[in-house]
Amino acid sequence: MSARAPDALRRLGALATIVVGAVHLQQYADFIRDVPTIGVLFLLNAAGAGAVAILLATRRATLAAVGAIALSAGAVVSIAISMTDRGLFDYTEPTFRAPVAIAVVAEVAAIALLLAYLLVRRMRSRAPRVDWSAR
Amino acid sequence: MSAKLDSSLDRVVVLLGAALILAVAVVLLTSSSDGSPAAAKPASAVARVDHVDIVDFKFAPDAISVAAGTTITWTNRDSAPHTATSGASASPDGTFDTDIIAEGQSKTVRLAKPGTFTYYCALHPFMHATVIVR
Repeated sequence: MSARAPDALRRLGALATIVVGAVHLQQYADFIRDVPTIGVLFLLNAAGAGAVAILLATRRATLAAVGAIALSAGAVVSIAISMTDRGLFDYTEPTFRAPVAIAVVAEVAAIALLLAYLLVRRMRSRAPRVDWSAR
Repeated sequence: MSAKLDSSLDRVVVLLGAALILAVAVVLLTSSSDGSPAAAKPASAVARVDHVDIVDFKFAPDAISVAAGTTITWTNRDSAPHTATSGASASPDGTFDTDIIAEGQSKTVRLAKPGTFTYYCALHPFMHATVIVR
């Protein structure tokens, strides 16, 4: 695997997280702001996505990756609950509208990319050091 | 060269993240909600029509005025199913209920008795509107 693979995974994960936040913000501005509780959660998701994306690009911290994974996983679980008959905080999402589909794809991508990033970093930190420039 | 590119890519991510946070602040400041969406509409905002479209999780128009005995039509132009159910959010009063209106479908209700009726979507109780029967 390329020495730059972790950085690529981290950056792609950050971009997917930004897409997640952007879709939540668009939906908030469109109509979700009128939905009690859910509106606030959408806004927090968007702000949180921006914050963890910046942290992923600057500090490259494990904590930022874990935060971004938690944010996307929480969003995926929430949409799954909202698609049940009970709904989530009085809100039911009975169909896969385009924004929902885009958000879910971005959330799954962010989770997969950042889990892979954490896994590769962990493997690298345990493996003996290799001088990649000599190859 | 690659270090420079890496740094530029990280800068792009930072800029996009900052833009997202800025957009959140702008949306928060510009979308002022008084928290009372069911408040009475001024007379000029009440449309004298007998049909209501459901678009983007909203009833449009959200306040109509019809003569007693008029048949009102609700057309779902949304990507999700909706209902027009009389009453306040999640509390039907039994005056009328279209039941589920699927995407692209219409349902009608005839209202004979004068009065002001609030209604909502049983699937999305935050959607609400008003019918005034004269």
